[in-house]
Amino acid sequence: MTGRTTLRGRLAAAAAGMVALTLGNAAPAGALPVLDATDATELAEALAEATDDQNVCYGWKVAVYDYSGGADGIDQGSSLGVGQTAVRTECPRYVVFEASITYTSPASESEDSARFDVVSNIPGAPTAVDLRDNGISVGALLGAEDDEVVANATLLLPALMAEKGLVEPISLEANTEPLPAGDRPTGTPGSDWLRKYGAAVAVAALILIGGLGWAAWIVFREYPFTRASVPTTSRRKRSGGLHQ
Amino acid sequence: MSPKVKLLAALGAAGIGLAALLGVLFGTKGSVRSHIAAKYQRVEAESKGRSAVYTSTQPPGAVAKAISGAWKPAERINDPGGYFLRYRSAIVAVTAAAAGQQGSRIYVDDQRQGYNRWYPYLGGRWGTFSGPGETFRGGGPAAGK
Repeated sequence: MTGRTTLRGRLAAAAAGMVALTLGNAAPAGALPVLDATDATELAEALAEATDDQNVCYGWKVAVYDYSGGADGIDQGSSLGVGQTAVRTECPRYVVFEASITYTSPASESEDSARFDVVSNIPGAPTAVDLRDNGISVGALLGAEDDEVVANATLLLPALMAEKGLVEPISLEANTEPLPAGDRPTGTPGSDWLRKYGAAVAVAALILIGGLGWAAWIVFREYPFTRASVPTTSRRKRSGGLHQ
Repeated sequence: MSPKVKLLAALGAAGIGLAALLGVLFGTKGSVRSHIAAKYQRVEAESKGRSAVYTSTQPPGAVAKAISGAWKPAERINDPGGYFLRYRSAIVAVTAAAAGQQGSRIYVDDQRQGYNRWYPYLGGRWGTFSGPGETFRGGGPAAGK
């Protein structure tokens, strides 16, 4: 598939985008655990491999305060395993993604809130700014994919450490084996063009529709459609003639 | 302001909106593939143009950020070894250059080829997965290709 799209495809994508914009995309509140058991195990294993290569312990710690009726608690793990903190004597050097998520009561006027940071005993280690520069955001933490955000943020740390020259970089190793029978990519992504230009299309369309709507309002207000008046003959007194 | 002036202003605004809309529909071009081809140095091409490898002098994080900034990915997966960006037209992987070299390598594949190439990292997340249960994630200190 090439990157070129036809005009028909762009128009279809623009129309779909306008529908999506109208319907909206609500994100449900999260709860503990932030990472399910399988994801937490995979994350811990990936961090353990990074530790083997870089001699730095990595971990995550997410504190959840749920005033909407769910449970409060902490979801954490590290290179040492799920539920294990990286801040311990076994880890002379550590870098940990820490976050705090607060879900307010439905009756509360306050909004849900979140914050995150990087905790480390290594000078020059990555910071929250580095994570934001790589797409990690508070808004995403409050969304439905908070588990992916936590995993992505934590897995970002070894690469950021390498880019700061504090550890050796790790590189990806391509698969050389054929895929197991039946395995294939799924969930085809949406239009790349719409993702890039969708906001501009929406703004332009709003201006166009707004202008036309304003014009229509002016026309109907200033030049209302009314029934044509029927001409009437005025009755005038006649001088002379017959009078009864 | 007289009604005629208001009407002209409204039609003017509509005209601006129409011009902007037409400009976006007819004036925009390019893709993430063409962007990467223009910005980085190609070192390999295969599979009838469906796959290509590029290099950059910048670290992987900066490259991933630059590509994401130019063309927002539908999905992104971070890994200690690099970054995966998913588009409709491609799967882009950015990783450190080989041992002893500075900079990055950028792999651009179509969906199937990219899923095949990075199956240990993407399996079960961007597609179906029935691979081996043992640890299979590769990599090492700049041990990639």
